[in-house]
Amino acid sequence: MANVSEIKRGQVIRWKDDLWIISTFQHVSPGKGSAFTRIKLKGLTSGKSVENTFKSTETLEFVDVQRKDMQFLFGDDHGVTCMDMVSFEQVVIDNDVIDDDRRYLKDGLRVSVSMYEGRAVALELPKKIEYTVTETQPAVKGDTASGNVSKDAIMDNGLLVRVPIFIKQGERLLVNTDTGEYCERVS
Amino acid sequence: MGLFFSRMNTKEKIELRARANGAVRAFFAERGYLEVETPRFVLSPDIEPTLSHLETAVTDMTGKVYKGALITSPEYALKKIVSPETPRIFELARVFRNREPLDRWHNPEFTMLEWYQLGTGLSEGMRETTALIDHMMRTVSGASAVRVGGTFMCTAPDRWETVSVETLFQRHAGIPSLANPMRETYQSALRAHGLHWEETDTISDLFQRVFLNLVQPHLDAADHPIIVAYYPRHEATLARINDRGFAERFEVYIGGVELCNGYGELTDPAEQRKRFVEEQRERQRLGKTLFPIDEELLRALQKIHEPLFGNAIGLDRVIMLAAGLSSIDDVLLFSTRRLLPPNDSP
Repeated sequence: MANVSEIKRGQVIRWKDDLWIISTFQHVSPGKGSAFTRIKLKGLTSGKSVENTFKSTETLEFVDVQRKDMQFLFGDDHGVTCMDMVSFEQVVIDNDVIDDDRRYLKDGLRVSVSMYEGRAVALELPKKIEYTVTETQPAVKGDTASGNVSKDAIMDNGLLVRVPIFIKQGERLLVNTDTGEYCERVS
Repeated sequence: MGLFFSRMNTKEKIELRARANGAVRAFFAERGYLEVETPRFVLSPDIEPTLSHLETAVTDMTGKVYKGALITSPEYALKKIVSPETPRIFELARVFRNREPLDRWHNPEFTMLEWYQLGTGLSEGMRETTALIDHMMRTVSGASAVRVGGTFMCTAPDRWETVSVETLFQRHAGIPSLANPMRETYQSALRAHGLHWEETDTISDLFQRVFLNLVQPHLDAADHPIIVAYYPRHEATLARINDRGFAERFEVYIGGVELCNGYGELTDPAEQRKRFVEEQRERQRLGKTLFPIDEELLRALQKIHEPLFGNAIGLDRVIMLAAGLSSIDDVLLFSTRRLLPPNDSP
């Protein structure tokens, strides 16, 4: 058993005699009263999505999942397809579990996939991912003086990141996948 | 101009916050409000039962320790000083809350804009709140609009909708009346919709479950700002109860985000003492730290003989919305989440 406040996306829980995957969740602390967590759950057997509300102090039964190293292949309307690096088997993870993280995916990226009874239920990104800058404005003399010390840059997978003014097109850099922020240049 | 940001650097954040604070001060100065500063450290903080405080103590030179806490809102202090001589006051207060999520909507310390106006009722308070939020949007983003989920929402005052909690519960939960709500009122709606609750839930918990599951999705999806008003009496907190038995309280929702809590304030000291005692008992039941009841506040309430309107807005969230930013970290120069070591459970 674990506390509702400890849930993560892709966590499998046993609830009401069924198994559910946590798709998304949001902590809410209303102006008055107890704190709640709104959770979108997907039934593992039914495939149906439901929304429900749990008090943050309630307990849920967490079910253990197996983690596997995989490679990202492609994403489409069905979900995100990854390949097991050992067995070369392909699995598909639902788009609604991946949500916003989808924008960080790029060809060949190594990810950690949670498996439950042969089924891929969640995907975890590396903390930092390397990209190549495909598009950004060159620095203009006077930018630093006028205080423009950062600018937008587009990465090789289309991701938009705010980068320091000295970054040039074609450079490689690391992006933090928790915050979406630029970390450092890769030399 | 339509100035919307992706992620901002420090200079941009500093400018954004300075512009927002300037907007607040200009708005209230024009309406004859005085800006005040009240203490962060108090001996009797807000004792609303579910609040957890950052507890601390003052120690004098002899080593004597005075236990207290950092405020979760400047409410008590502001109510003590609002008077016929200074009937309009506001504060940009840094406030602190413990045991809350560390996520894109929450930071343990944040800025609360709180204001009080003596001699004013709830309807006038709603109009003023609408005007303030629209003024903030225009000053910060350059337009009467916020970006919500990829689209723009107009915040001009004529686009707002005011709706009662009772109407929302009728419409979306099939609950006909909230005049005399009981546990069963909410339980039957939860049951009818196949929703989860626990036997230990208080009536307030059951109310929140109905609200979050059946009403909130409609607030999330709305294409205009909404004022949700007149709560059932068990959700009154520091609001007074009107003739129909509803609490004079409202919240503002933009794109599903709750921005403020406005009150036709309770100014009856006897009723206030009764609620304090109940809250104290509930804190004890929940195992929360107990603080002394604020007798100074109860004495101050005896001197208030006019309606009092008060409102508290989470300023960081307003700035987030105005600038089209998705995380509170983007509007804080030093967010707590980024100060904590990674993967370390707080």
